[in-house]
Amino acid sequence: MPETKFSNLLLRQLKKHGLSETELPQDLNAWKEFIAKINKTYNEYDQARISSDNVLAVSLKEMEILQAEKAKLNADVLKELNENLSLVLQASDLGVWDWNLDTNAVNYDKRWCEIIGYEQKELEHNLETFMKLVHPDDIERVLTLADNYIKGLSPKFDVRFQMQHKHGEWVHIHAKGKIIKFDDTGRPKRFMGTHNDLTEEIRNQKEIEHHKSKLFHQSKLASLGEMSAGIAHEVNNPLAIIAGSAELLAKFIDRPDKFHAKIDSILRSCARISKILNGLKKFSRSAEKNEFKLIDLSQIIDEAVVLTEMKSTRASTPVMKDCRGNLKILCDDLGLEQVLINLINNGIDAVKNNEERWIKVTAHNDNEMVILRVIDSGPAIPHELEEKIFDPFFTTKTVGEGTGLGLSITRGILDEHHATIALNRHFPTTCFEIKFLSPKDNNGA
Amino acid sequence: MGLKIFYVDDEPELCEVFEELFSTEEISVETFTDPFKVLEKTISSPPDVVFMDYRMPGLNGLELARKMPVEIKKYLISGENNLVVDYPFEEILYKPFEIAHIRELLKQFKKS
Repeated sequence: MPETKFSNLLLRQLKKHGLSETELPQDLNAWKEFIAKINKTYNEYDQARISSDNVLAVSLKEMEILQAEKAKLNADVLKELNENLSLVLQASDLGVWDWNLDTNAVNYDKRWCEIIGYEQKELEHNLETFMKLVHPDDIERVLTLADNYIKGLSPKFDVRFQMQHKHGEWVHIHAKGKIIKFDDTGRPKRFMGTHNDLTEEIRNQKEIEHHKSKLFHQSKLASLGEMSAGIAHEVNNPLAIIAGSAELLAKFIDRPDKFHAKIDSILRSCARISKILNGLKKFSRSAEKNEFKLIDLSQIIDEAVVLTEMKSTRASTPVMKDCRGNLKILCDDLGLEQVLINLINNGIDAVKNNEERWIKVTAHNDNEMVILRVIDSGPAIPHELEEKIFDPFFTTKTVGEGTGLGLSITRGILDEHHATIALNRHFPTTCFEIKFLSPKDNNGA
Repeated sequence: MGLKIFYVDDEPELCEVFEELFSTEEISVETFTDPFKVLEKTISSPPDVVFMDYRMPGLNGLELARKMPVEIKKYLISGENNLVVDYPFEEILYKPFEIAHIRELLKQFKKS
């Protein structure tokens, strides 16, 4: 039991602080010591608190500075990234669109608008603007493709279409895009992509096509020119026979056998002339796009041989033909005729200084393929020339003799047939080998 | 003595026509389709006149003329137009040749 009796007030206060009277000092000195101890502890605590407050304050300040610096750094990096991005976009000439799938607001950047002749502020930045400007024939396809991509039915959004320029003309656009933001449930929220202006590219392409077709015609004219020297001879000969035979009809009027022989002779010569003229007419016709028909290659070879006959006879270089099997192919007959004339003419020129002079044109059917070969008696073409011979304007002939266009045109025509041309090195002499797919394979091409 | 002429052309039908047109009792016409054959024959049994085609395989009319004796009269018959050659042919005739003109020429030879 404690000797000291505390007042009720004190006892209540002690209790409030969770102290019991038994734990307290029992005399005044002990109390003084106790209070001094508490004061000391309190002072120490106070000191510690103030100093920690200071540290906290300093660290807070430093943290703030650090954070500000970091934010600034981020902003710089972000700014640089943005700048780089816009430089890249500028360099690539790509217009950017940014489609909010919730609201159908679409932000179009400066270049996007520029491609179709507008300033950014002239256009409403929503989906309707796009739908209004896309070619009516294209819009349904474009929206379906976008929809399929958004729904995840197709792996990418990549589409070409036309949009109307402010001035009315149609601009060819290549668009690509990607979903860049999904919501928590995985539903697409933001769809972003680019527009590439293909108009110039397509115009260039058309120009190239135009030049190619012009070149093709020129090369035909060149071959024609080469032939024309022989044409007069070829026509004047039968004319001489006709004139002579007609005169002789009077002489042979009483000799039916001779009389009829002369009439036959006249008819034959007329047929010969018309055959040559027909071949020429067909050959010189400017063929922009020829129809592909199922034709027996053997027939085309025959015609090419007739058309080169004048040259081959003059050069004493017989052209032999050897065709086997089914040679029906889907082709542009005039184009292939031109190919054969080029190859035969080249062959004749190539062997003109050789003792042994001949050209063989062979065709056969091999494993779903039709193989056409033009072989001449000349030595094989050197390896180092092999690549060059198909280049436009490459020629080994002297000036005025060749245009250097023959083989490049040849390759162009064969490309349209999905046919290949190469030198076949298994032959001891020069052999150009052309491979066509048989019609049933070619149908799908 | 009759006139002896050679006609050389790689076109057999034209050879035949030429012979039938111009051979008479006074004029013998022999035709050749091979220029080398006519050269042989010219040396063994020379004619008075040779009519030769220009464009022939192996040897053209010009080359053939140069290989023949100078004193034989030579006519070049060309299928192509505007041929320029540096050989003193009597004349260059173009196909289809004028039959009457050749008859006239042959008449003059008979006289001389």
